[in-house]
Amino acid sequence: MSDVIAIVSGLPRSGTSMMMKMLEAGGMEVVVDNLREADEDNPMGYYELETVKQIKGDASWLNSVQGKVVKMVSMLLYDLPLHKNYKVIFMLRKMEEIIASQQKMLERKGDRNVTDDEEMIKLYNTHIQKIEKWLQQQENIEVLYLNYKDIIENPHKNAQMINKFLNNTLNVEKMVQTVDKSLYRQRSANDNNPDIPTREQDIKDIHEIVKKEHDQEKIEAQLRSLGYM
Amino acid sequence: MVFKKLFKKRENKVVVLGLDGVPYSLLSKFADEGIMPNLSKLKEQGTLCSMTASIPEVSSTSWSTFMTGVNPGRHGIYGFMELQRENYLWRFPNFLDLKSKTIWEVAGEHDKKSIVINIPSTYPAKPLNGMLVAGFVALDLKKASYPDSMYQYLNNIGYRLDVDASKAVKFVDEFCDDILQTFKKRVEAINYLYDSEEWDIFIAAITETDRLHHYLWIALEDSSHPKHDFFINFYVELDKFIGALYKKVDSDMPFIMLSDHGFTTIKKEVYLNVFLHEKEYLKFKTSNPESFSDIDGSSLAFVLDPSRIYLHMKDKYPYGCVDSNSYEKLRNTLKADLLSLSVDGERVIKGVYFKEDIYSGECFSDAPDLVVLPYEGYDLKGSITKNELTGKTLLTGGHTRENATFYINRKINCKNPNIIDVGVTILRLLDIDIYNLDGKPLI
Repeated sequence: MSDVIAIVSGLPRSGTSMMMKMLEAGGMEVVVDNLREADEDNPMGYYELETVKQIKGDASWLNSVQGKVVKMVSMLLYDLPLHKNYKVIFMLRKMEEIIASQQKMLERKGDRNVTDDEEMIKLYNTHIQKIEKWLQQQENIEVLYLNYKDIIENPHKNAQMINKFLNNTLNVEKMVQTVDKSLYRQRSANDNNPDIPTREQDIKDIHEIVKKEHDQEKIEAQLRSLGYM
Repeated sequence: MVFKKLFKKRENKVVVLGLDGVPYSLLSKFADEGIMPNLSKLKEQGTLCSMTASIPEVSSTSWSTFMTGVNPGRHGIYGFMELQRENYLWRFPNFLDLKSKTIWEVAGEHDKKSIVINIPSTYPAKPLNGMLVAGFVALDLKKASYPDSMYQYLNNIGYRLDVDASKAVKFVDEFCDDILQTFKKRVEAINYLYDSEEWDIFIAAITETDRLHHYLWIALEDSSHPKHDFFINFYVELDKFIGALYKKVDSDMPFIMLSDHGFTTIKKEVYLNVFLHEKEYLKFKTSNPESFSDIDGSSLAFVLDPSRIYLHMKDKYPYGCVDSNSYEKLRNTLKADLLSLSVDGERVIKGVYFKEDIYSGECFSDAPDLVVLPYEGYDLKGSITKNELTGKTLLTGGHTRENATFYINRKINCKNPNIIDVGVTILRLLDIDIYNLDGKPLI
C-alpha cells in the first residue's frame, strides 16, 4: 500500500468529504491543506487540498502523498500521471440529490446555476459514464464504487469493503462510528443534504468542465459525420 | 510597380469568397458547360487556376494556413484533433490555439476593418476590428459571433452555423434540404453584412459545398443518381450568388475566390492504423480498442486523421517506447513500408513527408513525424475501430491536396499557387507588406 496513492473522488456533494472523514477515522493519513477552517456549515472541516486543482500543470505534489489519501473531484482524474498507481474510491449518489444539493448551496450563497436542472443531470450522467469507461481502461488505477445512501444505511458492510480495498489496514469500527445516521437525518430535514458543503465556486467550475466535456462530444459527433475519427 | 497599375490605390478594399472543397476542375467544367454562366464571365475577365492546399489537406489546416499566411509549423493547427500527450485523450484545437495572427488581425493593426463570415477554424470568435461569425467546428452561435450585434442579427434571421451532415446517413432528402436552407441563410447574411457594414476586407465562405461533396459526390458523376439534378442545381444557385455578389463589387476592387482543397471520388477508404497494426507498429491492450487510452506501451507509431503519423516517443508519451536513437531508423523503415502499401494491386501512397520537409517554426515540435499523401481515390483515415485495411462508407467524395481553386478578377501569371500565398496576396492588395510570412504574393 505504501507506494499507492488513495484518492476519494466523485461529483461535488456525492459524499466525498464523508468518505475522507471515514478514512481518517480508520487510521489513514489524509492530505489536506486546511486553508478553509471548520465552520458552522462544516464543523468537521473541508478535507481539501488546493494543489490538487493544479494537477494538469504540476503533479509533483503526488510524490508526497504516496500511502496517503487525497480528495479529488472526478473531472481531475483524467490528469493523473499514468506512471503512478492509484486506488480510487469513487462516490456515487442519486443525481437528483446531487443537483438539488448543489443548487441549494448556490442559492444559499446568493447564486444559482443558470443551466436547467434536467440538463445538468444529463451532463453529469454522461460525465459519469465517460469517466467510468475511462477508469476501466486504466491499468494503473483500481476503483471501488460506493453508493452514498448505502454507506449511511449499511456502514459496517461498506467499511469492510473499503478496508479490504485498502489492504486491510484500517480500523473498521472507528470508520463505522463516523457514520452518524441521526445527524444525517437531522440535516436531511433542513437541506436534503447531509454531506459537508462544497465551495460554490467549485460547483460552478465543475459545471463549466462538464459542459466543456459535452461540447467535446458534440465536436466529435460533427467530425464523425464528415468521416473523421 | 506593376501591382500599382493593376488596382487603383485609393480603393484598398478586397472581397474574398471561400468555396470549401470546390475543385478547380469542377468550376472550370461548369463554367465551360454553361452551368455557371456568371463564373464563365468571371473566368474570361480574370484568372481561374488550380491551387495546391496544405498538408494535410483538411479544412482546419488549410483555412488556418490561408488566414495566417504561414505553414502549420508556425500557426500550430495540424488537423481537427490531437492527442493529449500526457493521457492519450482527445483534444480539439480551436481558434484560441492558432499561434499566428490572422490577416484580419494584421489588417486591424493598420486600421482596416474586416467582416469575416464562416471561415472554418475561427471558433470561438475572438475580438477584431470588425465583425466575425465562425465556421466549422462551431457549436454555439453566441460564442461564434463577434460583436454581440453580429449575434443579435444572425440569431434574428435564423442563421445556421452548419449543415447537419449526420442527416445524410438516414435522411438524404432532409440533408439536401438542410444544405439549401443553410446556404440560403448564409447568402442572406453575406448580402446584408456586405451592404450594411463598413469594411475594408470582406471574407466569407460557403461550406455547404463540402458537405454536399462528402456524401453526394457520386451524384455528380452518375447522371442517373436521384440527386444528380440536385447537385447540378445547387451549383446553378451558387453561380447566381457569385454573380449577384460580384455585381456589388466595384470594378476596380480585387475579388478573390478560393477553396481549401479539391475533391475526388473515393475508391476506397484506407485505415492506416490497421496497416500499422498489421505491420506490428501499433498494438492495443485489447482486441477491440475504443480509444487511444487502449494503446499498448510497445506501440511504435500511430495515425491521427487523416494521415498524420506520430512516433510513440519515450520523451513525449507516458507509455512511449521509442527512444531518440531509434527515431531515424524507425521513420525510414515506416516510410518504406508505407510506400509499399497496395490495395488490389494498386499503390496507395503517393508520397511520405518527414516533418522537417514541410513544416518549420515555433510549433514544429508538435508536428506529426510523418505525413502521408495518397494517390487519388484513396481516402486515408486514422480510425482505430476498424478491423479491415480498407472499406467503404456512405461518404463518396474525399479531399485532394491538388486541384483546389484560386480566382482573381484580373489576368495574372498564375504559376503553382499555394493556399499559403493567398493571405499574403490579400495583404498586398491592401498595401500592407508583411515580409515575415511564408506565403508569396500572387500579384
